[in-house]
Amino acid sequence: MVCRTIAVETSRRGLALAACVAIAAPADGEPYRPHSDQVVIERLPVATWFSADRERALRERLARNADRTELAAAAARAYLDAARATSDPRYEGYAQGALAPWWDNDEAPVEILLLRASLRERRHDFDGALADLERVLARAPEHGQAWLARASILQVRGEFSASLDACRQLPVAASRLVQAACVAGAEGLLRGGEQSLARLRAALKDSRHDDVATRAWGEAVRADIAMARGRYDETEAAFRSGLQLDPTSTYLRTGLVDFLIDRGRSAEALALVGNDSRAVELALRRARALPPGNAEALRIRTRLEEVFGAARRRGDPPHLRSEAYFHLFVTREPARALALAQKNFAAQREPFDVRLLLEAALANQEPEAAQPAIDWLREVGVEHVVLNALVDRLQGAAL
Amino acid sequence: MTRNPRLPLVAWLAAGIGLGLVPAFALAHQPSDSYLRVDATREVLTGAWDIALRDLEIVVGLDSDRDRAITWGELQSRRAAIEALARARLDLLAAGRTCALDFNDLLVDEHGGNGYAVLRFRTDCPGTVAVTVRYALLFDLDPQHRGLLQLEYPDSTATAVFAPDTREQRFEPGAAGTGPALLSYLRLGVIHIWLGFDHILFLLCLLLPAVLRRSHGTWQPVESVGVALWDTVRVVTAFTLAHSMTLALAALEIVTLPARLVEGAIAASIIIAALNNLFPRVRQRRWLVAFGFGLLHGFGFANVLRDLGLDGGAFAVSLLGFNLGVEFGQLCLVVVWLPLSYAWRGSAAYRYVVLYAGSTLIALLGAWWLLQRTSLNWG
Repeated sequence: MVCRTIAVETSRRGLALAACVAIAAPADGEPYRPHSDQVVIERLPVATWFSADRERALRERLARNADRTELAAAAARAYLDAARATSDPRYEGYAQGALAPWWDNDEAPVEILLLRASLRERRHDFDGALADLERVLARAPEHGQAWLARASILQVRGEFSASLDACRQLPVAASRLVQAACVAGAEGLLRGGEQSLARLRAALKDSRHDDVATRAWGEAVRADIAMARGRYDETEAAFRSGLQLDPTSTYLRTGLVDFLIDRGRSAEALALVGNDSRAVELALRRARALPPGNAEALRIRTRLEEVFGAARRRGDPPHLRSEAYFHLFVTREPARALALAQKNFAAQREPFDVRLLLEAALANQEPEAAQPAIDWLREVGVEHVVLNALVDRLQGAAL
Repeated sequence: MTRNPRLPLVAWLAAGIGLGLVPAFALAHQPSDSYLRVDATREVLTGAWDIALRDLEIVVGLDSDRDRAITWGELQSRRAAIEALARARLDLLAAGRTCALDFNDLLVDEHGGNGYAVLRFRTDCPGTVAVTVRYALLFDLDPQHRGLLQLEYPDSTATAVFAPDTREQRFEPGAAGTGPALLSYLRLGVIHIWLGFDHILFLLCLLLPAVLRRSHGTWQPVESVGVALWDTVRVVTAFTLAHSMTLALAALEIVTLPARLVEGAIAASIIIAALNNLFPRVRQRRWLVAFGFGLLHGFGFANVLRDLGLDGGAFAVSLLGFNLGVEFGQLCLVVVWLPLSYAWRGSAAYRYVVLYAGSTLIALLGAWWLLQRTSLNWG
């Protein structure tokens, strides 16, 4: 921030008033002229997802036929794949651009609405995503993708029985693995979760005919449920199988890194994060796992602050979960972390979110702050080894 | 709905949703932003527009040799196309017309780990006046693109974000974004009351006798701090209420009085308040005097505010900020003065030097101001 002193004259008395106005200048350096034509000023991402030529061709076709549903849907799907694989938010923007003719139209074709739901969900607009899925299901009540998407979002919100209902609506043609993983996600954290886990395990063994993405997802669900039930060997095995199937999955990588940090295996965790600094989630873990004064950790920390600040400046929805994690484990500002964790818990209730709130409350030594989470866990009947242990500590601290 | 033949996509979508719940933004990659700085502090409107090289690559193409690296030479060779794009997607309007954009320099900068082309420009429009900005870069390709504007006037800075549903925004001098506006007007209020001697002197006149009481034709010190405090509170509160009311009325232009009349009346109020200390006519009801003349002083504050160019969108915020600043400035004075005067109240020096001599001086000063304000600009 540059504080510039400006003298303002009041015309009547000629007195100089000094007003210091904080001017938000981009914090980076000054513009410059490179000394030679050969200087490289930007490296474009090496498009592993699709080649630059294919991307250009796709864009040109889209420009010529902006309102053709199949083309737009195909483009949006391709961009969404790229966004997931590269963690590059520009691809999300392009996906939304491909859907532009229908973005405000609730009567859009079903494929468009599904993709819109996906984009909304990525921006944590769960209400918007669920509304779009409802529109799809109103028109196509047996649409398996929509039911599965609905079940997933409801699981994120912790609405387990509604999620189970959605899983039960999956078409008969859905594979055994898809059914088992959906149900396990809805039931695995509750009493009787062992049976869901067993069924999922069996389905995974028998999943040769499912595609790689489905199997990786199944392993992710298995890892989460196994961890909840205290089966740590199985947790690690599931994460590793999943990563073998889909090495680009940030979710699986982050999950395994967190698991290793929990088990005190920081060196392995760091090795797993590696130098991949594209995804914020991984950068957060790297900054956490590196020793405190480490130069790289400080660089990552500065960069993350820039990213969060830029999102606020743009007016984007805040990245509550990441920022709460950032302040709890990287900048070590527990009060800020707690405020963010509370807001985050209001929006989503995966075990990670609940844990973030419990740990933030502990770090602030304010057990009351965690009461909404404790009440919810009891009300829903969640059985989770790690969460239960944290609740015990909090309740012990309160006494 | 028939059985979905592409059922593997079922799980794909769920996998995407479940696994995609990891917040989708990257360390090296950020969403698309451009930075537009407009300088309206001088005679001519100028500025610079920073556009990401990745974005320019998509729209006009920069990487001519397809090696996924953009060099300075490649950027320069596309300068004409880039400037044409900029002209097509940005409009600045000032002084009733669309400004012609003359891109006089091309440089390079970095924001958030990405390379940017910097397009410096001049216009044929004047600075220091209201500007309308129409922004339409990239929205058709990337609705999540945002244009981040910083517009500088001589005494304020406006910041704004351009999105697909906010493509046109208008900016006026003195009406900064609500953050800086509230604070800067707060500061102006404080500074105005401290450096605007007339208001302070008036208030001081009314507060000087707060620590004394009239008894058998002489001033005596009051016995308890409670009495002094209560008297002070009444006077200050009455003054504050009165000037807040008329400040708002005048700023909203519900009531307007000629500035010269107001200034003259304020000077007269100072004389009257000072003389009242020398020849006490009003003792317990000084708060009424504070209220009555406070109404006048409010009009005086409004004149200042008008001179500072208060208008437009940030009006309420600026008014609030200025008023709060004035109150705060007053409060500071009172908090400092009351303990001092209370401690001092018993001494003869307080009565003779501060009260009598001080009030005399103030009365003379008021008379001088009255003369000045009513006799200048005559005819």
